[in-house]
Amino acid sequence: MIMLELRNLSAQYGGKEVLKNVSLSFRPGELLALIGPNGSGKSTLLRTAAGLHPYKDGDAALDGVPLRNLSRKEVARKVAWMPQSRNAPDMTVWRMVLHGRFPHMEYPRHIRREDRKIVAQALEDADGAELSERLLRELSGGERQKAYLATALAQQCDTILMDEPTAYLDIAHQFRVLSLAKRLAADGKAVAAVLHDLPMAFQFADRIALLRNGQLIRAGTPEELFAQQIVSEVFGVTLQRVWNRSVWRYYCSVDREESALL
Amino acid sequence: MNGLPVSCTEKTIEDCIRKQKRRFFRTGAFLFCVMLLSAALSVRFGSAPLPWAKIAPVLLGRDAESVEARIILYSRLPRTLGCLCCGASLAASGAVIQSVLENPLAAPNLIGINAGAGLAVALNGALFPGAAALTPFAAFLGALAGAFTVLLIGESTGASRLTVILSGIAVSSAFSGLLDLTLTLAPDALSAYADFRIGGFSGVVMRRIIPACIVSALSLALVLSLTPQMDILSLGADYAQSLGLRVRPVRILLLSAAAALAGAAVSVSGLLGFVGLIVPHAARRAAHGESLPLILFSAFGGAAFVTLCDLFGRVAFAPYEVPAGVILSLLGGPFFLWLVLRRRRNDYA
Repeated sequence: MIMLELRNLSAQYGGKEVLKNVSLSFRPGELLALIGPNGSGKSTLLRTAAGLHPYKDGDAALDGVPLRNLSRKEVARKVAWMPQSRNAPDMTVWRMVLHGRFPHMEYPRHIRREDRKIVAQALEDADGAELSERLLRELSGGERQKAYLATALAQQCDTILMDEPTAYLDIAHQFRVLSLAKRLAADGKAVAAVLHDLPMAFQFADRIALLRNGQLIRAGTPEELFAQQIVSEVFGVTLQRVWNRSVWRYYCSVDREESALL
Repeated sequence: MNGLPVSCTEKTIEDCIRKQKRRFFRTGAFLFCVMLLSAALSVRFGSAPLPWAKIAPVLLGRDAESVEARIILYSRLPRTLGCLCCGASLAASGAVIQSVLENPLAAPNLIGINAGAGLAVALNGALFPGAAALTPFAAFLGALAGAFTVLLIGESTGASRLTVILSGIAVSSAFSGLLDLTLTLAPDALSAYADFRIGGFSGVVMRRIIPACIVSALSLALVLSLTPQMDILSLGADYAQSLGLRVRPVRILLLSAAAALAGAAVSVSGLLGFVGLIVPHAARRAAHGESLPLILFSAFGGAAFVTLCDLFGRVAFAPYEVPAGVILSLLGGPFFLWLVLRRRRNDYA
């Protein structure tokens, strides 16, 4: 199993340093949640890890090989990235998912039986089989997310990076997406997701990375982070939990002084 | 939806692919036939309609001497070929530019083609008043110069679609300033420029068409070979990159080919507006987001459309001949308006 790792990574955006000395590994079999206030560098971290954003110092490496020594296609065969803004180009869902095979196709890009099989399986796994012949732009937000998920699955990567996969989705679809992410991790993939919903992140993730101002403040299991009360400090809210139906359920509340300010 | 789980198998995908291929083939064959038909009509009709019985021997090479043969070989045929080549090139160029810049309102003029070609033609008229024969050559070089200035500026600022569009506007504005300056200082250049600006096919000769056809064919082949990359690019630059596409070189290669296509077209016909805008739009609806059919449909449709517009201009107002450029602008204006209004309605819906 190939592992993606960031080592002392620094990256700039428009001349400003947005990631500072970040070291983080994307471990197989684990759902990693990236949390942090707006502008803390979560999306840039994922983009850099996917080879979409250049880094200045340190390294992003696949099994020790720096991304900059790999071709785009080599990276795309190992790391899938799901964008936060989910455009709806004018095409059918099956066609979109078939584009997930692009990194695996050599000239003259003939669609093989194997590709069709993988696409069908990806649609099944993303719970989107019934969408295959629909047009992307006619889908609801939740359905569109399934198409994007299926495309990422068709890419057959060991590492899947999701930039706010629950954005624009209703609560039921948010749960569905995170359950699927969890299932992929259980199948041995390394899955990382930028999440804004802290209770959800704590409930679903195997490990949480907390960022602030481009720095990785802490990475650890939800248990560890909760015990350290570091989240409350960074977000200015109080994270609490109750024992319910044999799991911890997390919720956030605003401190009394804070709410007076609001 | 009946609520039952629907399964998706390898067979489902195969069926989808086959169904789509069949549909594309039907549309393509239809447009190809329309193009051939419009070419045939263009050879047949004009100030002096020719009977089919006289046309056939000329095309088969058995008659090169009669009056009809001369009309066909020296007037109708070059003109028809010119229409086909320009229409196909401009429409394909527009399709590429719209896709690459992800802008449905983009057309060849957006990347500095018209401005560059116009300036070159005016300069040619001012510096070499006797050398009208150089006009097509100047137009082609000017178009390429305009487009590459835009691409160079766009590229040095990251080759994002916004920087390309902005530098297109800036370069076009500067070039048209230079054009006005040229026309003010050398008013004689105006006559060469006026014909060029309206765009049309009167007086087109074979000698002028052949080089344009060769450039067009080569550029079209390049574009067609890059259609899988164009498909990926249509998903958005970042996403395309994450799927393993080298976005920047592909973008520049495609825009260069589009510039060569449009440059070849303006060297024959002068500035023909709106073909590069209208035709790809109509083609896009039938192409379902796939670039290969998009380019082919655009080329066939553009060739047919320009040929028919030219024929209409020749026949409808006889004994006057209205340049194809005028007909195209008359049709293009309302279409553009309809397009913008329809988009806005959809956006608010």
